Amino acid sequence: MTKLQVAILSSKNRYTILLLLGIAIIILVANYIGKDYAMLSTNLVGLAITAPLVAFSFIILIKDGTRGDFGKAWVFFFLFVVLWFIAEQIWLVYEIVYNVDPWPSEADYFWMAGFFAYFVFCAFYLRPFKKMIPPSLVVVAIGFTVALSGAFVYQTLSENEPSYENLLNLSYTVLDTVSLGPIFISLVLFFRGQVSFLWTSLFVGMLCFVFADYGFLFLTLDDSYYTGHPIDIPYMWGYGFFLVGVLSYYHVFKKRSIHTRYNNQETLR
Amino acid sequence: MKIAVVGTKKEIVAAFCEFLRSLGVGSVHAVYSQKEAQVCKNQNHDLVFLDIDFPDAVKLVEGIKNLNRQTQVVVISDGGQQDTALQKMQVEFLTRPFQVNELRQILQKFDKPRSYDKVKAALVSVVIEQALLKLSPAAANEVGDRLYTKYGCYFSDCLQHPEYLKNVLEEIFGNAGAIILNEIKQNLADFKDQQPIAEFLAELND
Repeated sequence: MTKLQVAILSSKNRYTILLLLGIAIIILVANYIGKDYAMLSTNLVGLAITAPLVAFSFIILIKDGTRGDFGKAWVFFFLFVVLWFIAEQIWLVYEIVYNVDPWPSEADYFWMAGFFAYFVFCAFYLRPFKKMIPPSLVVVAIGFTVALSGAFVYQTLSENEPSYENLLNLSYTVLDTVSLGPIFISLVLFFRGQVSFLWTSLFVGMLCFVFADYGFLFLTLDDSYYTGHPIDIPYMWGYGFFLVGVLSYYHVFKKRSIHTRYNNQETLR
Repeated sequence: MKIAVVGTKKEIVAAFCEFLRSLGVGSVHAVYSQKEAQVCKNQNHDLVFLDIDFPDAVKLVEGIKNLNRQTQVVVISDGGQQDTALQKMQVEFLTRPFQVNELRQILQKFDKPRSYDKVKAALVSVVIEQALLKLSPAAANEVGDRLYTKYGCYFSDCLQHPEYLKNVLEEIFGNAGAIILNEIKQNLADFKDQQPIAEFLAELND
C-alpha cells in the first residue's frame, strides 16, 4: 500500500472521507432537484461547516494564546476563518435575503483580506519545519507561483477589458496561485513522511479553494456560475479540510483533566 | 534521597520505614503488594530495600534495573545461600539481623552528592520545555502529561531516560518530532562533552 493509501484509510481520515462524500452528495442531489435547491443547500452546508470552524479556531486560540510558532499561527488562522466566515455570510444574505447577485460585493474585500491572514498563518505554521525544507524547494515554489501568476495576468489583461469584475477575478487568481507555494511545500513534507495527513489538511483545504476559484473564473467569464454549481463542491471541501485540521489539532492537544488523562492517540498521527 | 521499602509483612515494613526516617531519610515509600510494586518500579527511587521473601523478587529487581539503571537495590535476607540470579544483578545484600551501623554504611554509600547531577537534570528540563514552548504551550503540556502518565516521569527525568522523550515525541508528532529533538540537541551543544548530558545526546541521536 502506498503512503497515501495508508494515510487515507486510517480511522480518523475515514471520517474526513465521509465528510467530503457527504458534501458532494448533498450538492449533487440538490443540483439534480433544481438550481434553487442547490443554492440554498450550498449556502446552508457552508454555514454548517464554517460556524464550527470559527468556534474551534477560537477555542484553540484561547488555549494556546500567542506563544510559540503554533500559537502565533493560530492567531492568523483564526483571523483568516473569521474574515472568510463574514464573507460567506454577506454572500448568503445577498442571495437568500435580498435575492441579489452577490458577485461582486463587499464579501470580496473580506475574502481578499483573508488571503493575507492565511499567508502569515502559513509562515508561522511552516517555520518549525524550516530545517526540513530544502532551499531548492522554496526556490521552485516561488518560481512556479511567480511564473503562473504572470501567465494569468498576461492572459487576462491581453484578452479582456480591464473592468472591475475582471480585475477582481484576476486578483483572486493571483492570490490563489501564491497560495500554491506553501501548499506545495506542505505536500512535499507529507509525501516524505515528515508530517501527518491531518497536519497537511490545513493546506489541502486551500488547494481545494484554488481549484474552485480557477473553476469559478472560467464559469463567470461565460456567466454560467450560480451558487450551488458543482464547482462549489471543492469550495465546501476546502472548509471541510480546514475543519478536520482544526479538530485534529484540538483533539491531540486537548486540555487534560483527571478523566481525560491519557488516551490512545497513536492513530492520530 | 528517595527510598522504597518492599515487603509483605506490613508491620515490619512500616517499622523499617519509620526507622529510616529517624535516620534522616527524607522520602520513604512503603510497598506491600505486587500491584504497588509495579507502580513503584516507575517512580525512580534512589534506593530500594527488598525483602527476599517478596513474591517474584527477582522479576521485580529486573524490572527496576531495566527502568532505571541508577536505582540501587538492597536485598534483605536471612543469610544462607544468596540467590544466584540476584547476585548477577549487582544488588547489595543485607543479612538479618543487621546492626544500625551496617544500615548507616549502606545509606552513606548510596547517598552520593547529587546536587551537580540535579543541576544538569534541571538544565535538560528547561531546554526540553523551551523547545516545546517554541511550538506552543499546548505541545509542552501534552508532552509533559504523557511522560507523567506513561512513565511516571517529568522533563528532568528524561536525562536518565531519553528514550521516554523520544517515544512520546514520536507518538504526538511522528517524524516531525525530530525538529524538537534537533532544537534540544542544539541548545545542549555547549554541554556535549559533559556526562551524563553526552550520553543523553548520544541516545537522542540513535
